[in-house]
Amino acid sequence: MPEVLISKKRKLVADGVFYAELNEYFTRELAEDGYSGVEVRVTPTTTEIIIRATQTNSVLGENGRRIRELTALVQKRFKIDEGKVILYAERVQDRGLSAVTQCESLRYKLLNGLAIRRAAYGVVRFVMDSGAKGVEVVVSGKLRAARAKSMKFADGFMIHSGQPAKDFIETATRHVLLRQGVLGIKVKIMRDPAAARTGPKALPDFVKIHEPKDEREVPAPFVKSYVAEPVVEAEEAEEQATA
Amino acid sequence: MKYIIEHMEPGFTPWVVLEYSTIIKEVGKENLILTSLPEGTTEADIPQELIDLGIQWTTDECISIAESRQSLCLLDPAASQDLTPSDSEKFEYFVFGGILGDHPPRDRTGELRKKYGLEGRRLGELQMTTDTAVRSTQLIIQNQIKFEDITFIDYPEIRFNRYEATEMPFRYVMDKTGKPILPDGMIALIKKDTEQSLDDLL
Repeated sequence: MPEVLISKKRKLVADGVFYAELNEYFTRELAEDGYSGVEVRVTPTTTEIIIRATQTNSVLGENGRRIRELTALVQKRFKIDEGKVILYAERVQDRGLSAVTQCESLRYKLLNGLAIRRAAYGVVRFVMDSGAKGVEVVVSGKLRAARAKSMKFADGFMIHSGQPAKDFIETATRHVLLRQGVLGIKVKIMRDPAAARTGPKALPDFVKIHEPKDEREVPAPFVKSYVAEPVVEAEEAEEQATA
Repeated sequence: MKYIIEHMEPGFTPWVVLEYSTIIKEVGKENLILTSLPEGTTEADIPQELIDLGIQWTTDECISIAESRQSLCLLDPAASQDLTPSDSEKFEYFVFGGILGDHPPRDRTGELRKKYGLEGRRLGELQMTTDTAVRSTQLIIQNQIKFEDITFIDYPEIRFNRYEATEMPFRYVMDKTGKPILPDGMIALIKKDTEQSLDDLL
């Protein structure tokens, strides 16, 4: 992008829009590769775009072909100079804790003809095994020959409101388009607060009462004098001198 | 006072059969007529449970049942007036759309509204199942209870076990124990729906 002076407000909004468009594009393009999110880092020389996905091999393509194509696309779309934008693919650690990844995975399971209950329980079990505190999967919509309903599958512990909800919970929703309507899929994952690397490490209303320390013996008071030694030495020296 | 259900779903699926069976048991077989069945429907096409309960059915439209259109009332969520006990004097037949509803509702009752131009009455803003609608109408018209005085439960969540629950986005009449009144066997059917896959829909 050319160097022009933009006001701080406009710049922040433009950054947000840039991120949103990238995120939306990659969600649609890389859905089958377990896409989980992007991170945009602007350095003085380049703009680095880090794509988090579970199957980085397919994001890179053979000999890095696909990621080069994506780079060219981004560069042309946003009119960035050549070489000023680099795309990296990073593997998601703990894909069982990423709501976006699990939602896409559930969507694919359903599209491949798996029964709703089996698919949902599969996701629930996988997420809990990955060390989450709680998970909730909701599949809503109208199946043929039945009324509309919302099927909920949950395990573990879940909170819904307050600041901890913003800190520890990740939500994702996806639509499965069918001939007669849309099926909605929602996945909500609550990660373990104790495993948090930044920020609070427990829920705000968690109170830990510590065990009382063992009673230690309190000794009888005594005096430790620091003045005694030099006086004795001086006396000894005097005695030696006179002796 | 008679109840007419315009059959609008293709065929007779388990859900539809359960709802209709409950309605026949609650209002009596002489008071219920199933209309607008597809041309060429024979006794063999009707499920055995409904025949055993003595269902009356016809391929005619609902307007051919009554002498004049004025005695027919369409229960329509988009109507401008609510159903009141005094409507028992005005109308003789109450028409319902036999629809398995979507959420949010797609206003399929509108097809009946446009087709017949009957006078409409509303049963509140939330969508109801067909058997709940008939039950509420019976309470208002026969028992002369006002709509506001009926205890409903909205969007009940039916819990199957510690991990699984299903929320039904409809309004149901509440029974004395505080539970929604559902047709017999409906809960088992709702549970069975979770075992369906998308292939079952296409």
